[in-house]
Amino acid sequence: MASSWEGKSRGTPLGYRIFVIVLRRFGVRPAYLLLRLVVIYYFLFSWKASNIIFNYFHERLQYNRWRSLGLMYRNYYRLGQTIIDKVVVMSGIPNRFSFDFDGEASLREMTRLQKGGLLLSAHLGNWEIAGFLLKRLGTTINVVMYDGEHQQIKKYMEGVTGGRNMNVIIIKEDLSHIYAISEALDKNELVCMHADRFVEGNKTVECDFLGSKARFPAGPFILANTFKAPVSFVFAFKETATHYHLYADPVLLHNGTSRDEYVLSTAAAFAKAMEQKARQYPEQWFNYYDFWKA
Amino acid sequence: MKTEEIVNRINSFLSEEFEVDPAKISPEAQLKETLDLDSLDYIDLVVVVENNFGFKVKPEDFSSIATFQDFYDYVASRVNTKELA
Repeated sequence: MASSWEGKSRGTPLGYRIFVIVLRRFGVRPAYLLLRLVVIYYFLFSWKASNIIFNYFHERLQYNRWRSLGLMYRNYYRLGQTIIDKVVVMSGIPNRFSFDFDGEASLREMTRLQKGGLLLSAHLGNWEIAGFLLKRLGTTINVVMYDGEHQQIKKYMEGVTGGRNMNVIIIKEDLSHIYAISEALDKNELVCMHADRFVEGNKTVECDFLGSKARFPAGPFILANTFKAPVSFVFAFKETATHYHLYADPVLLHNGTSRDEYVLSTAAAFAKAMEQKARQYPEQWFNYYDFWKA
Repeated sequence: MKTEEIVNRINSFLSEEFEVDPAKISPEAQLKETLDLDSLDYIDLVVVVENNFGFKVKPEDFSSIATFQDFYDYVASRVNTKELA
């Protein structure tokens, strides 16, 4: 069983194409209906992911077996909905999505500081919806991604959505991301990254998370320390078919401690924020590997 | 700037910034392994070099830097080029 993210997302370009056709011709609700069939397939036949997610609900969050099975189904359905919603919002398909935004003032404060900023999120909820909306902050948003996502799907999705309304910085072996990230922060722009997944070979830091130690990538926190950039933890959760709740935690400024101390304390604060949100929105946990395996 | 001064300065900030035992830093040691650099750590390295020597390491230049000696030589040549300019 993988102890880190293996760098691949599931699904095929054909699957995505079918959903985009349904979305464009018939709208969001029919796409959600089609999604139910796909979810049943994954629920019945995706043993590896199902086993992991069942254990997450049953062992980590202590739900009974039946409740865990129910949450597992809802988890797959929510994941599918978030992907559909992302396509809808990013490609400009008419929709009735509404949003609450707790902590928007924190992000406005961050942009006012003119020191750049790191927005750290997780594969918990649909943070890319939040990322898309953050453009209303009136500053450039740069989204950092690992180069492991399924290239064909990414290419197809970019064609559908016309690219993102944000800069995307890909972390590559050729280290081309070095300048992109440092220049963005030098120009006082915001840089958004996931701080929950790592790929083998990445430096990690251990934090308490839902009852035991889990490894988190050290990179995002080292980056915040290097640039002394303000940090905010951001999340976005789907609450109903058409409503999202966005959260941005108060801005954390660098406290002048040593690198190791800063990385440990900020990662621990992130893990704590993530735990609180994982308990609040249990069905929106989208890490399908053993998060706690050493 | 003299090469010895450059080497001492590099060793000092690398051991401090990357919290590495100075005894592990030697000319023939591998830079990536000794400093335990991952893809995001290189940014840290670029920033500390810039803070100490006033130039940015180009990402493509890392492909020719394997050992500390390579790194010393690279920084020395960039510093000398800058001084001559």
